[in-house]
Amino acid sequence: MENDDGPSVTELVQAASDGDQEAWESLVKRYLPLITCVGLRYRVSDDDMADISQTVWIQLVQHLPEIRTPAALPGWIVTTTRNECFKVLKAGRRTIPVDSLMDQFSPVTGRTRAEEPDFDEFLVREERHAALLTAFAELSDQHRSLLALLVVDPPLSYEEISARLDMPIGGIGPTRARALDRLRRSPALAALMSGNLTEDTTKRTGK
Amino acid sequence: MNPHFLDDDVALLALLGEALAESRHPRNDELMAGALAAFSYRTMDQELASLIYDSMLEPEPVGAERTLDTLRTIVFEADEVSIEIEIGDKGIVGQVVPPGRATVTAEHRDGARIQVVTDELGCFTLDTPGRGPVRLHVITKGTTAVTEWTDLGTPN
Repeated sequence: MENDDGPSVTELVQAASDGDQEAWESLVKRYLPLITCVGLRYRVSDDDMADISQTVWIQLVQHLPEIRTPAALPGWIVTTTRNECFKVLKAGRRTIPVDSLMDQFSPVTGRTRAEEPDFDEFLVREERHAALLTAFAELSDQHRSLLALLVVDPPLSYEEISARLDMPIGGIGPTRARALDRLRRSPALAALMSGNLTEDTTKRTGK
Repeated sequence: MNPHFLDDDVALLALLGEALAESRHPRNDELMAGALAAFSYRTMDQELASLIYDSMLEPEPVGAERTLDTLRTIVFEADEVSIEIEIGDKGIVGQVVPPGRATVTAEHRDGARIQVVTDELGCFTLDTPGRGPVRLHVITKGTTAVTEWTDLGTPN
């Protein structure tokens, strides 16, 4: 958890809960990609993504006081987004096959996992992305800004990056290494390696 | 799954790039604006009755098919009061628990409010609201609470 540069996620959650709009903005920038990543997994339409996203944020702002640890936030977000995707997918069908737990069938084709061999690969890739986005969200603003510029395609020169971040060129390499090290050591990536999902394993509703 | 991306900076950065590129939604600006606007939905000083159960999220029984014509049941819970509602084609039927007379006000996002009084068992009915978030304010003899904003309208 970052604490050398700017507020931690826990501090942002507390501040937003106390009414700090800038803290809320920071949470939005950090975690919106995780929401769209989950939406991508369930292949929701663009219109539905907009509704789902706003619904998740509306729920989050009301439940901020309950999120007490930094680890709880990404799990909450993924579970809630998944639930909203589920509602949308369900609403799109007059009847749905009943062993169609979300991981059993492809929302796009309606075929089962057995019939669509690429689906598992797709899920694995999306899980990996979700873990990376979760880890990335917890980095400091400086590290996030730098890494975001380093993955731009076509690549930016170090001169360009230095100018944009107001960071000396000689500092880019070492900061990049530090940022990637933080990313690598994040609990979210450790969970991925040990096979645990990033989702909160207890459902929010319906137990 | 290749774990080597964790040891190699170049591979890790490439994978991060892939994740960031894929998760950047075509309507990202709109999503961002919606998310920022959500800040105005916070509960502030009122006691929140959280949504603790929504039948739409239940897994379905094995060996049966279910259509979308069934009722949707939602339960909101605060410390001292809970509100259970059933949403059907004809409207909403609800009950405030523990049972007792209460005032229930449905508030829409645009500020419109509809107030009903329950019977002595806490039961009430409301017309089905349209799409869009709604929250219910509940005032009983001993307590007041407000549910979280929820879309109670029937999905199309």
